[in-house]
Amino acid sequence: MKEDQIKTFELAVIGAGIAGIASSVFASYRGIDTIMIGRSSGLDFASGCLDLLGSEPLSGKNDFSNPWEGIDVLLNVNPFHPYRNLSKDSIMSAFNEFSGFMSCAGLPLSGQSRKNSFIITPAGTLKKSFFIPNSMYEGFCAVNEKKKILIISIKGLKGFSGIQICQNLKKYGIDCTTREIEFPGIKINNDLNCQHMAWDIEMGKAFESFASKIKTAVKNENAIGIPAVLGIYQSENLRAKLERKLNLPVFEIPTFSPSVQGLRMKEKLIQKLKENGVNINLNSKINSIQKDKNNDFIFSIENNFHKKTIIAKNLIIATGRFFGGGLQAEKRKVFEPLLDVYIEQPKPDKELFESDFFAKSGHLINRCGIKTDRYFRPLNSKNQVFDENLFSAGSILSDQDWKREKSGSGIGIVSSYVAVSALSRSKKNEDGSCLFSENKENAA
Amino acid sequence: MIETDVLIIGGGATGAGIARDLSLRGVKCILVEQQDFNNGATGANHGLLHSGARYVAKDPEAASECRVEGEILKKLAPHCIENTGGLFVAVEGDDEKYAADFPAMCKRADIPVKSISLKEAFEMEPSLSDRLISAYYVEDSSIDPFRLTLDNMNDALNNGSKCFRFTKVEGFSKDGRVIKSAFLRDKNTNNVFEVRALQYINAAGAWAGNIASLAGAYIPMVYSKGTLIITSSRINKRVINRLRLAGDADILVPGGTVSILGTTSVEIDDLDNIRPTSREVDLIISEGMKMVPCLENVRYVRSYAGVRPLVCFGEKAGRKISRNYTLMDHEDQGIDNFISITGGKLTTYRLMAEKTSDLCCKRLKNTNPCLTDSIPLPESEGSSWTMPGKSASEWLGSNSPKDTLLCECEMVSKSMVDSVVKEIVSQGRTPTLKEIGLRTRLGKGSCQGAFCSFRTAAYLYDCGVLKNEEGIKEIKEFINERWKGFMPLIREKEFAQVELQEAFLCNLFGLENSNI
Repeated sequence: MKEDQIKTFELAVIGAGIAGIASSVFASYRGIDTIMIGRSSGLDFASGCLDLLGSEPLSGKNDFSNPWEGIDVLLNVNPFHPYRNLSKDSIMSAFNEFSGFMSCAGLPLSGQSRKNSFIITPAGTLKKSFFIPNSMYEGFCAVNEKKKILIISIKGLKGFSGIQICQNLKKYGIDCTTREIEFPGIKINNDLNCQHMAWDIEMGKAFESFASKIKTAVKNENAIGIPAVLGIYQSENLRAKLERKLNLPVFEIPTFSPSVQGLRMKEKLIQKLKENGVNINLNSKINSIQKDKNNDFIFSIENNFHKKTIIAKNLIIATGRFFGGGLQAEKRKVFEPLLDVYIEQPKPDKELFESDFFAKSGHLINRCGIKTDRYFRPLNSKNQVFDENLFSAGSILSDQDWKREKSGSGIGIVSSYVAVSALSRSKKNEDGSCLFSENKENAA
Repeated sequence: MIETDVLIIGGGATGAGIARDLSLRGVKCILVEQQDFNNGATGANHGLLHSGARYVAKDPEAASECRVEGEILKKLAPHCIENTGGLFVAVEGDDEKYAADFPAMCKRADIPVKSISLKEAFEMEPSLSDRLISAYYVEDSSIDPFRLTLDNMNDALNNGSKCFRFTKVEGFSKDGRVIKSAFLRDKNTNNVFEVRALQYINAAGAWAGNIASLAGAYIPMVYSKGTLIITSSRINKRVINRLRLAGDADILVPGGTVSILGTTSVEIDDLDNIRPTSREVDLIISEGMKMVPCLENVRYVRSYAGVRPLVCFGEKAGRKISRNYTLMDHEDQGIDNFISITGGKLTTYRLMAEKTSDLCCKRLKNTNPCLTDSIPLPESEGSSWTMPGKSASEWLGSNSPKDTLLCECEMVSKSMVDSVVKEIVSQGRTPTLKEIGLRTRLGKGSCQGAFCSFRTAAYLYDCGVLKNEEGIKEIKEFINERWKGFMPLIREKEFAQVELQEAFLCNLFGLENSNI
């Protein structure tokens, strides 16, 4: 192990999912010297879409074609939702800034500014989302233009059935049919894995014969849907190449875990962040976070190779919920393991979960999390700011149910944007007192 | 109209045991079950073959029945039994007098028991609490109730019986003191058909009271709900019992690769929506860890609840009501060809079947003797995919390149699903994911169905078994069935698993918004 070195940053972001990445993006664009530490495990399962709002489970509204109208409904029912802290115009700016970054990283998105669009899922359902990867947006266009769609199934690829997709899409009046092809590349133990297939298409020699097999399968259809396996780094080029070869629009359908679209995000966004000057430490263990005599955060991070001491003026916790490790539970008591930030427990007489897994209201536990002030600074049990320079972002926040609301990326982007704007303004104000003295009374 | 000698109502261990017993005596039977086999208490108990020691204080007669029956089953159905042996242990704070009187009580009921030192007990079961104060060795074993019922049923079918699953008794037609026929509804087709029998046997378990009232008879039923939880790996080699008057969560039974801890005893009023609760799970764990401390921190895979069909002729309550069986001839209630058998224990299912068949044969004037205490129970091949570890070893052993896994946690492959689908289709039914789950270990591993239910649905679409939006309904029903047993167990790391499951099924697929 290397010698202990001390490094000082303006901001340390803990967590490398959407919220952690968004925080680092906004911070780097504002010239804030940033380190990001995390695991990014949640991205393995990402669809690649940037959701804003699809449903409001508490009132049972589950089909917002206009997410902005949805936000009015949401804040009316649930005034403590993270979206309370940012105007709609600023939410749009935040989305534009983040999707601009994704484009620069090679993952361009499309969407309609006033409306949700949708992607076709492997269950044959239509998932509403706000900004959609270009590779999937073609599917939305094909449906809107009433094109005849061919879904390509790949023999031996588990959890992806063209028949299932077509059978379920029938009820939307979508004209689609499916044909199965053999994957020309490698198979390991005769099991196909989307990530291996993507590698093989990008690095190996599978692309040409894969494209030919698809071409042979096409009859009179005029749009082609395939499982998302078109490479990792060169995905947009490969899709364009395939479209030229077929002379037809091609769109991807996200696949089941572990997904290629998640891998693309992880690889490309982190690469781009590095280029933007963010110091990135993945898969490091964080040891106890404390405050030094200058009132800065001080902690050490270590992995198999080295151990570093980090000093940071500001800290954003974007560690996710239970799956990401941001929250933990012991005998049904929920706590935040890094700093023991206060988590308001659900009332003991209430059940944490509904007896129907698919209950439309969602499960009570999902709304439990970190309560914050308007700058997303965690509050303690007395509704006071836990620490002037501590912020939290993403799904760890309370009073939301991102999985039911279809608001995961939106909450990550909005809370990161607000937190980073606040700390960058306080930086400009030198001592920050002006900004933060005002909100103590409004803390709750 | 179908004619038979005897119509047996109920497809648990008792009903299947009666079907086998009668068919071995040359009686033609039809068995009717409203759900699938083992849907009631037979499918929701400890899987414990009692030595009898648990009942020595309260019911020495039942205790000695358990011993005799246990010995018969170990000899005649060894493939359903793991002869584990068992311990009775008391910990600090338990009634020392009960512990001291225990060997004498066992002796009175003729139950073999051996006093062992604490050192010996720890050597046998290292997971025992260090606050142990006394320990005894007894002849408890674990038994697979699923195989037991299926093997009894298969033997009955081979001897000329018939059975209808997913078929419900709707009513009876009577002529004075005699039931003329029963009306049965096929739950798939909704068709009602008539079965005419000479004798009608009510072995419907917790539903016996309902069946009796359809026939114009009455059974004073009390429903006692019992909840149990399953650990993800096996903790004990032998059955571990708490040495005290029967109470909550005082038995830990090993079975295959898991251990089962339970039970509770809560009186309930109706049979709808029987499900374990998180409070019961907490109670079971807090009691169980007094005997075996690691039960506090082990991982649990599933909880489940069953209903003990108790019959109460007095004003007793809870654990005071006899756990013994009740055989009713209903003649005093004005019916001459109706018999009810209810209550009792899995351990004495064969004896219950014998006594019921004796009464039935006496009425039929059939003098053939009972054979189930002397002829071994034949082992049937079908439906043995539920055995822990079997699918894994078969899949590895077959080493077939095309046979990929649909369920990676429990290693259920396409060919296993194919064989189950084929069997169900041959019975003229459309297979559901739930039924496939009952016949394999699909969804029983750590993902609790999040991945494998979707993959299997996709596969069933490819095979042409599922159409339209049926897959979504199937996935939702399958996940909710697993959820019933998993939800009460969510205490620590399990939260993450639920989150992942919701991220897929709700955030990506939006299944909660489809009204199917």
